Amino acid sequence: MARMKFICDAERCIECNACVTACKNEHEVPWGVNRRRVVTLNDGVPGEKSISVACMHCSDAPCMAVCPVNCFYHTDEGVVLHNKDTCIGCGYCSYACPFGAPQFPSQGTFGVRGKMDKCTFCAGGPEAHGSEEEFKKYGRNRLAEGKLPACAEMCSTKALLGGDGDVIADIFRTRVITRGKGAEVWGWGTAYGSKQAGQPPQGAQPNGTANGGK
Amino acid sequence: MLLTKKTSAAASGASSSPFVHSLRRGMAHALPTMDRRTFLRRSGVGIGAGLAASQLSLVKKAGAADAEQKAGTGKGKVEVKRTVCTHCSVGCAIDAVVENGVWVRQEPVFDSPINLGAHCAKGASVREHGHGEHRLRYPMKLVNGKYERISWDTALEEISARMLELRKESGPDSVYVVGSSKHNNEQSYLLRKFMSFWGSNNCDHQARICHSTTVAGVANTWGYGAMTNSYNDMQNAKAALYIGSNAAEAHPVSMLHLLHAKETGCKVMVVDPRFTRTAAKADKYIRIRSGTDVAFLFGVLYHIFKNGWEDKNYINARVYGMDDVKADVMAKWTPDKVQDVCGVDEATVYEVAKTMAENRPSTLVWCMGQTQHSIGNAMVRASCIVQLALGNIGVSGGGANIFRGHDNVQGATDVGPNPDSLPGYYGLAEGSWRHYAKVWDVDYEWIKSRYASPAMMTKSGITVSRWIDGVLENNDVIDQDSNLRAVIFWGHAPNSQTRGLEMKRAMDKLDLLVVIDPYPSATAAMAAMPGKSEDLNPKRAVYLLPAATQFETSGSCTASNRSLQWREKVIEPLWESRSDHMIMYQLAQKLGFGNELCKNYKMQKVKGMDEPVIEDILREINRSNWTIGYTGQSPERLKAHMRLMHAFDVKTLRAKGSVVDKETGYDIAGDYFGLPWPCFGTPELKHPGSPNLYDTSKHVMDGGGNFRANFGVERNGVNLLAEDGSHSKGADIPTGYPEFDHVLMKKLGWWDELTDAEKAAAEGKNWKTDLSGGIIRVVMKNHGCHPFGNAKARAVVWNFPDPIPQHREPIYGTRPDLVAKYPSHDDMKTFWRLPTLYKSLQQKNVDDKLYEKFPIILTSGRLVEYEGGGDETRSNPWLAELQQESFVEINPKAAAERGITNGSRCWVVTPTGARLNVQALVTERVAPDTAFMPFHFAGRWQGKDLLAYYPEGAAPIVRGEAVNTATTYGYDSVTMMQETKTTICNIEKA
Amino acid sequence: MKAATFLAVALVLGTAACTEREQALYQGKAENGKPAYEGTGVSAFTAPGWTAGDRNSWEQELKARAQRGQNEYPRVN
Repeated sequence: MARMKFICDAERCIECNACVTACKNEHEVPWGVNRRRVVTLNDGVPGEKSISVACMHCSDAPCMAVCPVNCFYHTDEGVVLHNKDTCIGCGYCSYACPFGAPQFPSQGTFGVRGKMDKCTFCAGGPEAHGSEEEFKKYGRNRLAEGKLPACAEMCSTKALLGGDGDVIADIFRTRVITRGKGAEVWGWGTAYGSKQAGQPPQGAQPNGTANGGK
Repeated sequence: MLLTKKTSAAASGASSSPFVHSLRRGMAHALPTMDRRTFLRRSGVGIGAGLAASQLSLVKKAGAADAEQKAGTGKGKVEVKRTVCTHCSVGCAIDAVVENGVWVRQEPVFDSPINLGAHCAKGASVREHGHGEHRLRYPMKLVNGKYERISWDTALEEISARMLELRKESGPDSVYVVGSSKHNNEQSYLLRKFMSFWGSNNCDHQARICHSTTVAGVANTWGYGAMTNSYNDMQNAKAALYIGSNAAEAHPVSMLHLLHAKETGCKVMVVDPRFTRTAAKADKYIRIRSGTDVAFLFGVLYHIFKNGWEDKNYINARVYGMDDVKADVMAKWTPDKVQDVCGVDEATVYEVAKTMAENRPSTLVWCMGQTQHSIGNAMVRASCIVQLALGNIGVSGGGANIFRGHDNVQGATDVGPNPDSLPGYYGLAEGSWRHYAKVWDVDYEWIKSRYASPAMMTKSGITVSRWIDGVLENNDVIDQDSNLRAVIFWGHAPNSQTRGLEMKRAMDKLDLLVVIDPYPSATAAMAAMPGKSEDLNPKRAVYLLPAATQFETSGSCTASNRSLQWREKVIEPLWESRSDHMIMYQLAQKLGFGNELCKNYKMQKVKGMDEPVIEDILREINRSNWTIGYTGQSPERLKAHMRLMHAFDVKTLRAKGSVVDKETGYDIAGDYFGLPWPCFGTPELKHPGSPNLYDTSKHVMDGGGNFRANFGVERNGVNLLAEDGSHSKGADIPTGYPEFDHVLMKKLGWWDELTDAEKAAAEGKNWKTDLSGGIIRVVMKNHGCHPFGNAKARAVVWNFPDPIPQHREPIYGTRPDLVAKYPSHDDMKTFWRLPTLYKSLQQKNVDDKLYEKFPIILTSGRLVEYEGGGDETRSNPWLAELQQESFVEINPKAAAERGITNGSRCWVVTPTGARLNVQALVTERVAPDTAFMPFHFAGRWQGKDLLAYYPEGAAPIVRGEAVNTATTYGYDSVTMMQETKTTICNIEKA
Repeated sequence: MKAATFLAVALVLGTAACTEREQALYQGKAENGKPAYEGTGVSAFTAPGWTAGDRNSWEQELKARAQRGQNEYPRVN
């Protein structure tokens, strides 16, 4: 089995936030903690693109590298999880993560941080799979139930894909080939010097002025 | 190099990309462009504080949550109920997981052919309805400015007593009931019946302010006023033109189908005053001035005619009046005039026309952007005419794909509380009343006696868009005996209608104001907040009754594509809420017609009280709504469809083969999913439903059809029926023909194919009033003909104010020069019982130079996180967190001129004198002359927070200014639709 | 020279007592150590079509589920 991965197809993401509320719903995530967010570039102008971002479950996870108490671990499928009982809330992982995945519940008191919380790929935590303890601390464990992350399964346009890396890469690749584009947002152009990198799609310029030629 | 090797000095000196920093949670460093969500979230941190305190961390959960934890373990009694989202009209299915009666989880339904498991933010969070922390829990009464809890018995007793008192003093028309597009089909239908027995046509629902112009305009063009194809069918389109639709936010899951189509080659064009999220996905975006759709569409049509791209055969055979339209268009909509009015240059309009013409079948999509104007009826017809010219109607991949709003606005429109019709669009003439008297098993004379007079029985009621004038206007100019003295908001918010300042005054003057809703809604706060002392009626009584949501009852709802889906009951009504049909029954009993209302239904016990069995109500609909084919969708067929979703094809919506439902033994073979209406005849006829309307390539028993013969046989010597050779596949009559009645049946010699029982019922009747369904059976099954006839669509609708759609400037606009060239209609003295202003008000606005004081066009629309008036969705913390502030989108140039910066507070002021305090979102989405506000907010009033005026504990989490507090007068010339998409304002730095 | 080398070695050996931690990549392990395919034991919430404890059936189910739920191409084209 390949590693578990997320990829968000920026050609399809319409910033509907289903992924965000699906996660909130499934794990009863409190106000102020945003395991998943939608990030929009070039908001309101041609070239606007959105992608859904949460923990990317990196193979070489910076959060794991910097944690002073080593509360992180990888599962066999490559999912990055952590142990809240060990976590001391120092926040270092939050600095290290390029995606802003580690979240800390806002308690309102200056300088006080609770345990770190983040996307678990719906794979729970170190507690027994599907137990009440696991739900209270980490949320649901869909992987152990034979399901995939709620965010990917509920995405309105199937932009956000989550699951076996090989399978979702295949789904994504089919789309890119069918439409002839879509991989630029992920740095394809930067890496391989394609002309399309960073350019707005052809023809998507606003036409005319709204006030009738005045 | 691995991050974990800390030995190398190079690692520490490595520069990190600025991009990395900018993705930092909270976005402390502003990017060159700030996206809407981020900018708002920063400003709303304080709002969540009260909420956060009770939900501090995932490690500890307090209070009520613990009880749920026990239910969430999966070790108790777990059931899965299949239901449908309660928000928009796409109709996404949901599997609700219930343990020990508590709604603990929700799973996507991949099997659904409509949404394939997908949701938007609202659908993905519906489970919160099962928490409902901010719901209205008990009946309440407004006492000395505060809402106090009362018992149901007291509430029903007092309300009914007051209603009967008002009836005696001022007649039944003094009570206005605003019904709901969120009621399921059965409840909507029951409400129309309720109003009929109360004795007034003063009822309406959200369709008025949403797609009423569509229904009128489209039905008058070719027969039925509904989406002709479906979201799924859009996958077959080669080009798609969205004009006045922001589907990415209003119908997000529809984009699944569109974006798939786009990937496989469909060309997408979006026309909108704003660069919306839908426009961001378009191949081509065209910005137009709000309110100028007719000019644009006819500019497109000009090029179609000029280049001979129209489908001449199709027009000859199936369209009436296109020559007249062509003459009008070629003269009036030359490229220079088009650009003058809507601002789009010739090259762009030409390209749109070329794309639509060269990539057929092409589809045209519209939503509020076209409908909410004083000429909405003309705009939608212009869209229809373009599609008729291209031969795109009745074709898979083509169509006029009208995206409806609420989850059951289609159903409520079809069978619900309309002021001008009975369920199924049966009019208010005596024939219709007699038809229903029979179905309802009551004496026609008795119904007649309930009305103030026979005249009032056949007269269309006041529309919800004008109820305030029904209260405030001079009595002598209202076309009914008394002013409105009582209003019941039954599942309807107030802040989605215009003229909020006047609405407050009207609310204060009422004798009785009742809200029946799962949430108090903005009405509760608006009623309780202090207004002008001279307005307040000292005898006013305000009540709030808790209704249950659609998850606390079962029933059917109709999606935009006309498919009906059955919802299973997920949980019992929370707290003291009761289902709407139970409330209708109980109120009817108090008012004296409870038996008549529910005599045809069995009762079941819910929380120990009688509730009409929902399936029985649907069966009554099946027995009566022949006109639009709501007769084949029996509860059994619908439930089987919901259980066998996986067996329906996603592209065609047809059952993949013969599959038998285990529970009922029903075989879905041949059915289209949800039996999209019209599903003609009795359930036994097993009509499969009609996926694409007017499709002559199919047999009528296969879902095929043709245009309706509703407008006569001939006009000015021109044949209105279809030409020879134009008919649905396999029809025995290969020419045009009128609708069927007993006379025609006898003439054709088909009469004897009816059984004796059918003959008895059909004698003297037509296909709409034949309660046996025999005429329909014989006509369709035996002869492949369409019961409503086979005629031409009308490009010229002679009974409309403008038979050929004309552009007319909005009542409040910024172009006085164009008002002179394209003025509005003449005023109407009595229109839906009220005097209605057009030209005189428009001219006064120009004379007063309002365009100088208010030089910015104000338009409003939807956000993906919220729905409708918004109190319901703003009470869901998972949604509320995403949009915490009401805002106005203002162009950087306009903002700079006013000293307004992004994120700062500002005042939006309009000619009504209202001032809205909102946050400024400076963005290039809108042009320098346009501003946009979402309409979902309420709970703040001209700078003041109305939290104190809500019942304790039942206020929405997020409150903001309602744009409609400040919107202006302006109504459609056929349906009284409000002109919300274009008014004027100015914006000042606060 | 020899003295410098000796000094360096001595310093290194001497400071070796103030132990520096291993800085190789930390690969954490779950406390209970159980892989996801062992299941939760709560049948009411478990998706059908695979057997708890059987790694292969779990992997196959997740692959099939990804296709079923996130790829509309086979159902549409």
